[in-house]
Amino acid sequence: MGKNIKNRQDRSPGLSYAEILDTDTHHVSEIWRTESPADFGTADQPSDVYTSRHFHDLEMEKIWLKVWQFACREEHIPEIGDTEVYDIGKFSVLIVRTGVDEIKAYPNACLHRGRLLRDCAGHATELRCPYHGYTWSLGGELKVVPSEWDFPQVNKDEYALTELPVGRWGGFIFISLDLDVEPFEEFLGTLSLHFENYRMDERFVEAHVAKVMRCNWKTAQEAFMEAFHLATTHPSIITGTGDCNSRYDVFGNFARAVTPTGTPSPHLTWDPSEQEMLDAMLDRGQDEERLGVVPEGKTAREMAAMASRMRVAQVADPEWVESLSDAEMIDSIYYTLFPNFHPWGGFNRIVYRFRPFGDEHEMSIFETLYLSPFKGDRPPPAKVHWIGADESILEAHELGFLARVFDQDTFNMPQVQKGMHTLQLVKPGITLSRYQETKLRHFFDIYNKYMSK
Amino acid sequence: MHQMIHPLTRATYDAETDEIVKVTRDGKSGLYTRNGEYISGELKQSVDPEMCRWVASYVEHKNAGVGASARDRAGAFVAMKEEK
Ligand code: FES
Ligand SMILES: [Fe+2]
Repeated sequence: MGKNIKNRQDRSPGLSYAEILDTDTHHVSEIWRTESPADFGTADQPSDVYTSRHFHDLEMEKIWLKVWQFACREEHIPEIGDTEVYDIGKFSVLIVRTGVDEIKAYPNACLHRGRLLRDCAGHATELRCPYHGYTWSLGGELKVVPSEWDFPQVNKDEYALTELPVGRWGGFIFISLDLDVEPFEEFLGTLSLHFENYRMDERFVEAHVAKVMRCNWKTAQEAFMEAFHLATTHPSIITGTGDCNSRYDVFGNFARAVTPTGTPSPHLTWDPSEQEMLDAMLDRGQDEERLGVVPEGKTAREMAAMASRMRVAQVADPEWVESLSDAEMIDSIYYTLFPNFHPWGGFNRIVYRFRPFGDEHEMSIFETLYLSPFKGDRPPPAKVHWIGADESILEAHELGFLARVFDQDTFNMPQVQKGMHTLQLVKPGITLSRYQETKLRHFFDIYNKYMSK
Repeated sequence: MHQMIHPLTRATYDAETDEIVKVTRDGKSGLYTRNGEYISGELKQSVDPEMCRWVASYVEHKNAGVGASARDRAGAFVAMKEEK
């Protein structure tokens, strides 16, 4: 059982998350009870890492060329010969299913004069460069050298495609551009244990939205790594959200935040009823009919968890659904695996990924995937819906309610980037909270290690 | 159209359209843009731009036919209601 944080000066007033878990109507697993706080101190974070070209170039070399990173899902390349292209900064990786249970990744460049071998995903029986026709097998052996007599120096064995490290977990395919990268399992640490009960491989990509943002990729992802912004950025939900009662835990290369719902924000100066909390969770307007009623003796948490279980049971194994706690059904549980992969836990379907937009250091790609359970045959994954830098995320109708939440987040993200340049005239760093911004501090703890290697 | 009471200030935010929000506080009202900029009316003060966006985006999505998906939290309650 997690320790009670009541009366601690360095935690918010109100219920601790451990106390909220004690009210759960279902079994709460040990991983949920486990607290693993970290104290990274109170120092400012220098802001030039977000604004300077120098740091972008350094990140390319020290992070993106080194680290394990989420490239695509297994379902994107179900058949032998299916390919996917994953771009990171100025680099491109070609991922190929080469066997029923074998996936290879290659630097996506022709060994003749360097053209991209493939421009986009698709099925292939061979990897033929569209420029002069150098051709490799799916397995990476050089098969065809046009005018072979003219390339006496080309030895086919030496011109095989270089195999990049590939890591697979929960239906996610990770790659690294570093041939000497640490083993994938070591890098993941206990993350797979945390997701053991969520059946990530038995999900399909129901929606996939990629929004181009006018801000650094770190500026973008940091908008999704704490609940501290909820009261100001998403005020309407705090009647039923314990924003500052969130718990932040750190485990090796990943961190976890949990924000409880169906409990009032300690920021409120009034006491909402259970019904008012549920209405807020369901975004009910004053002028609208109630969607759900909290009967006498029941709580908003219980009602929301019950509805959530019913909904999930329609598309997933009901026994599995019963094995999940209320917390896993309704709370916001958002993990970050360094550097940019953000799968949500419990029955939340969200996965975020953030990366630079091409080689731009003040632009990024903010991707949201909905990974949903399904019954029967696996539905095909959704195609990526690109939304330009000057288009609204509200266009992402497939995200439903969440697009409106993102409309509030994206109102800030480019303005943070812009403001940081001016801030630098006054002070060199941004000021982070000690606890609620734990995930940002944890990120920089690892970031600094990579950058100084 | 989508009327909500701000949980912190207790002002009422009501989207007239997907661009215009009526804010009412202490019996006075004013019209504001979806970014919280003052347009007209008796109530002229700093209002919450995020709350304006929230109610305005509701109208925008409603006009576009985006309803609660069966997999959203609200969708789950809609489904429960329909089953009854
Ligand atoms: S660049 Fe690929 S065959 Fe010439
Ligand atoms: Fe947010």
